[in-house]
Amino acid sequence: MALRLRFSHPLRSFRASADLTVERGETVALVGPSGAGKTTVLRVVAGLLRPAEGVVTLDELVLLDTNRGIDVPPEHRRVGYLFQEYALFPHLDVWRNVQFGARRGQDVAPLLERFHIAKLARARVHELSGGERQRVALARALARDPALLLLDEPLSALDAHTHAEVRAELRELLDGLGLPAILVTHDFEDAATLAHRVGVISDGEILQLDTPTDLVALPRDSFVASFSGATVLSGAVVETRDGLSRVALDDGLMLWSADEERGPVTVAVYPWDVSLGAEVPHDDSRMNHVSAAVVSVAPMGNRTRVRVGPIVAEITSASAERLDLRPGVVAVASFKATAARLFPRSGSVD
Amino acid sequence: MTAETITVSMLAIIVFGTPAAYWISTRQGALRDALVTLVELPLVLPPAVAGVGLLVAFGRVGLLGGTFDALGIDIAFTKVAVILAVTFVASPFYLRTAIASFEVVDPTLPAAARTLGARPGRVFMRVMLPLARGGLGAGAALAFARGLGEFGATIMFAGSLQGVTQTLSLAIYEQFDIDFDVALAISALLIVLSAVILLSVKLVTRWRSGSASVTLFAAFARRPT
Repeated sequence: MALRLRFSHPLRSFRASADLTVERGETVALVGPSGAGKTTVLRVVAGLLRPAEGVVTLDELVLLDTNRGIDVPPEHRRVGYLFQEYALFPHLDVWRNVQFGARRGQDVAPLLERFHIAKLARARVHELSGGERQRVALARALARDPALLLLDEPLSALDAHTHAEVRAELRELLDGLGLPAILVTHDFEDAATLAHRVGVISDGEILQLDTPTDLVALPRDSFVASFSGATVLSGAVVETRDGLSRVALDDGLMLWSADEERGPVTVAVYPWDVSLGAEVPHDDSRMNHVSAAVVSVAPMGNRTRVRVGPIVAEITSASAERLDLRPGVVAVASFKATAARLFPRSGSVD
Repeated sequence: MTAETITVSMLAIIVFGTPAAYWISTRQGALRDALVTLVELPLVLPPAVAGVGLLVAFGRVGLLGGTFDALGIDIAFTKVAVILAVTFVASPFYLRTAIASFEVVDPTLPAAARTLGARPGRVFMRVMLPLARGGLGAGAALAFARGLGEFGATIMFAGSLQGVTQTLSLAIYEQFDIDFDVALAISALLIVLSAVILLSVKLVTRWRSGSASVTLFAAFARRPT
């Protein structure tokens, strides 16, 4: 069961468009800043928005074809849609919420059991925690036995503590269902964990659609790089020598990059390519050493993100502890010239 | 007399007004603004103008009067006239509040209902109506209170024929000249009735707090977007 989607629709300040195929059992994530047109894609697939022009098919089944005047209403599309903030009905209890999506005479008790919400069957929506709401919304979306799944920011309404746990559950669920699924999120890490392919959206356009690994290895431009987690700095190439470019950053720092560019550039450095030390190491193959004060230290589980001057490094929490990194302490961030990727920048436009 | 006409008027307002209000609430832009203005018009119209308007439309020599006359139906100065006048004057109170209560329902809820297999009719009955219930009740109570005190349009269009078209408000006006005590008594009755209605609206909205409870102010303060 493959979902094929192609549409174009004018929004307030730009035109939203997409052209993609999602295979059976595949999850495609769309990431981008808020207002980039991610949810528009889901609304078109669900039939909640009729685009100016487009075609949506599920295998041979045509759900939308503006040229032929076909527009199957949402109630007949067999789409499981998990809304942002979940859109549970506040006037119904958990059982009735799930029952709403079910067919006449269908028993929803097994679904409640499966999502561990049987005990909450009589609870009202406002009594539930974020994680519980998400499970109710998922059970409701699956009650109709959907042929495809749409997830709009499924994890953003959760606190940091339940986030990782629910993400793992969701991953398992998506694998088990084997449906084509489109997931919308502003968090690249969530996208990379949950999806087989990730599309980076900006101003209604999918800039790059690739596996998470390829996106990080070969970002098409500085926007994709920054959205996939890179620190992006602006500067200009002042010298090229032996295939290397010497870049003067806007704040005066000098860096080496293995990419050949000329003129104004943006430099992208992924935090996991940067290591930290107390002083500049001797006999080091790495060409870039930025010595600056630590700006911030943010632990994230077993890893810690440390910002040294303009550079962000991601190191193990054990190393961060050993180096005794605190804001204000001077540290050296080191990375190879190959880890500093250059993208041409035209004048003042980023 | 008053009880009968107001009951019929309220039924008409709720049965036709609720779907109409929902329909208007789903429109956007200029059409919505135009419709809301049309709904609000009786609110700002002097009651005498409303009465004249109804006479011109439905009176024996009016625009539609000829048609009704030919069918042997005479509307002006009958109970039907009272019902029309009360409906005309009271309906904006219900419609405006109803439109506002439908508009404050989170639009993703009906959208979610659609993706869960509900046709538009079921979305209306199972999602929109229950969620707007508080506001609809408040609007109905206000329309009821306004209809109860309706005077101007009724006396113009229906006259004040005791036992036929004389409502409580019209009776006050008549008794004012004849027996002041009777006028006073009817007035007291209306005051108590109105107070009870307003109080019950407050109690109901407080009891249902947590769900969409639209007050009169919220309904009218909300400017067309």
